[in-house]
Amino acid sequence: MMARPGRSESGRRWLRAASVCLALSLLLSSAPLIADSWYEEYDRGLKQLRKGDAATAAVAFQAALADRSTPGRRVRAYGMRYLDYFPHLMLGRSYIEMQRFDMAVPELEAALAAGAAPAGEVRPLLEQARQEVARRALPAAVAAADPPPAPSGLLAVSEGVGGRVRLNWNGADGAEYYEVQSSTTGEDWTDERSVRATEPTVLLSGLPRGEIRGRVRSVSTKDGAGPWSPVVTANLAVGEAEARAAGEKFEAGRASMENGRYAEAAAALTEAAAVMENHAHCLAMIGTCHATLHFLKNDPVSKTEAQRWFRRVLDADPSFRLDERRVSPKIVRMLDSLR
Amino acid sequence: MTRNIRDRGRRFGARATGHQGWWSGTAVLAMLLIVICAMPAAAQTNEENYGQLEFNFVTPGARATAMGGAFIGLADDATAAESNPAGLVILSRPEISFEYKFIDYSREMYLDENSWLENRKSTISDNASIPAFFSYVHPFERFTLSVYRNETVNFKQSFMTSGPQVGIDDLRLFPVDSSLEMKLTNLGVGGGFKVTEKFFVGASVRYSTFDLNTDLTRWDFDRTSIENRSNVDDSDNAITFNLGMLYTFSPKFSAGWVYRNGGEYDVDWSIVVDPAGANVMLDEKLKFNIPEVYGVGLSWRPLDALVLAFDVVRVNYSELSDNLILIYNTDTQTKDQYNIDDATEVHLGGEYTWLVGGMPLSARAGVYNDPDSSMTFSGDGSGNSEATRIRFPGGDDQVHVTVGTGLVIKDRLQFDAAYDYADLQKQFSISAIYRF
Repeated sequence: MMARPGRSESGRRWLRAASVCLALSLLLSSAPLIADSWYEEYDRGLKQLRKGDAATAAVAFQAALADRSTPGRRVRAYGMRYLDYFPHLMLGRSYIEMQRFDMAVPELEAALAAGAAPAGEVRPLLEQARQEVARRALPAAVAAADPPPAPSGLLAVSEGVGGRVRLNWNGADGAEYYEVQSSTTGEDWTDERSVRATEPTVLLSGLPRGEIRGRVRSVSTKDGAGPWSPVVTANLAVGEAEARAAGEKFEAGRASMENGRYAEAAAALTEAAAVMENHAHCLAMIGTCHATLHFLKNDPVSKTEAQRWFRRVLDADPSFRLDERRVSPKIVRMLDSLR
Repeated sequence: MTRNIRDRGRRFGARATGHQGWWSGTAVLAMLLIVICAMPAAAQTNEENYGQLEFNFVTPGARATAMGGAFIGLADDATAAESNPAGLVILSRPEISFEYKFIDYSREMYLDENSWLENRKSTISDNASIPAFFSYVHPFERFTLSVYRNETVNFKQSFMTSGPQVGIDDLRLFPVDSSLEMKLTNLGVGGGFKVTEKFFVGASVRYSTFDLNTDLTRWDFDRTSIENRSNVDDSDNAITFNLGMLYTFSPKFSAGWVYRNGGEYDVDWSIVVDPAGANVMLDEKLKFNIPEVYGVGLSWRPLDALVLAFDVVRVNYSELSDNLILIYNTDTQTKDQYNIDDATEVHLGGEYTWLVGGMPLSARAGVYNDPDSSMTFSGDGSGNSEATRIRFPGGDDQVHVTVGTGLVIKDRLQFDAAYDYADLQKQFSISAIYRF
């Protein structure tokens, strides 16, 4: 009995298809966790905000901002789907829902500065957040029978890329919470700039370049506010505006890099690195651009440049490693050889 | 046996116009029993109504149609469930989509008595209105699920011949009335999975239903008595599947691969022979292999508003003749003399989108080739072979030009329309997508 040619061919096709399915199953079962695209995170944030889960929404909006920092009207997501992308506004709205008015203010200010989100929607929220920040700061004039002492050990340290200062202090007995104020001149202490903290630490953001002064006092609902601590000063080399500009350069560099324009990417990232001085990831991207140019064009100058930037990466973070899934093994080895 | 089969072939297909020797009904019945028992249990027949079947393997959706069917490397809307299920993961919101098509088919055949001798074909046309595609897509974290229904095939064809003269041995074909309706409907469940940020895979499993309704009546020359009449009125089901992959090199470049199998379907075929008052009915199973399709595609977005897509698709049409049953001329012809060529289609399309009052408005255009997928006969110069060539004249390759437009209203409702023009096939398609 002879096998029919048509039947055996069909069997081979099914076998091939089954092999593909098996290979895919193995692939899927070992798939690592990965990040979603900006519009998926933004959609998730909007959905959670509608459901009333502002904390989860805030995380999603932050993730969307990390993937795409530039807001805009009618931004293409995929196919024929366009959407209004206002992550700062939505993040600010989430913080307001969370009663974190101090965190809402810089986001809403960023939304206003970017200009994409409707100002008529942003301004009332910003005003509300600022008023809440002010209202929650207990008036200094409250009489205190036995107010808690001034916190000791106040320290001010610049944090992150720019425009941010962290204040840390020792907790004071009897303090239910702390009121923190900042000033650029040492004279313009106002309630509007007051921030309420329940832990002995706070991150001040949205600050300009230059000297930033801070002070803190303990507050008890029953006994009122104690005296202000001694003023401490931090010198911010990079303000919020410069950090934002550097962030835009960084995004432009990353986009150029993804599109294979390595020289253009290196130039933009170098401008960003001038502000984000010890940002190892940024330095590594510059080094990767030069290394790629070296391997593409066999250019010794690019090789020297790549090695110089990679040394800066290791100076900033000796344990830094390039992601082997995204970067050529030759470039990974170049960095590792300098370790 | 040899003489009987050849004579039977003459009787069913053609005979000398002056021939007077009729067989008795008993002799014909005995002969048919012998022939039918010897048939392999498979395949369509070499009756002329199966000569020019038309399939509609162009990717579903008016948007893809307007882009020349080039969508494998793009696959960024709900029709991805069928065109490339890997693209489903691009969608971030639940969607329902619907497509309706109006298709006009034309075929060229030798119909009247002197048409073959004068090398003059007549054009026959039929049309179909099809609810071509419906889907619901629901995205989860890294997985997107789709449930859909689509009609891969919806083909109608009817014609009447007055018995063309063959021009050899004084042969003439019997006049024929033929009608055929063929439909392949898929109910599918598919999914896309995001393996990495740039690499997606997808698959769908389909419950496919094949409906075939044919009626072929062969008259005597004066159209007063029926020589024989065959028909199919049956359907069969099969589980079929498609697989897809999509890789996004960058926000501007992506590439895709897809494989679809068509399945095998058995339908009951019967023939009634009425020679000189006898009424004999015989039946058999026909096995249809719907061709498998595989292709690759690229998409390039040089501007945010402009996307270009390019697909190359291979359709194994030759599977249709894998297990052909010879009803006529079994002694003088072989199955190898009946051929359907596999086809390589090249699809190219583009889409440009403006924002008009905040609403995306797209203009699309495309082009693709559609190689002839008709059954042809390559025999010697005998009268029977010549008669077969008349019944299976083959067709011409077609070039399709497509245009279309799309509009999104209030971010949720998308309307698309497309027109696909070729010499022998015109298609108008409208579709709608609603995003939740």
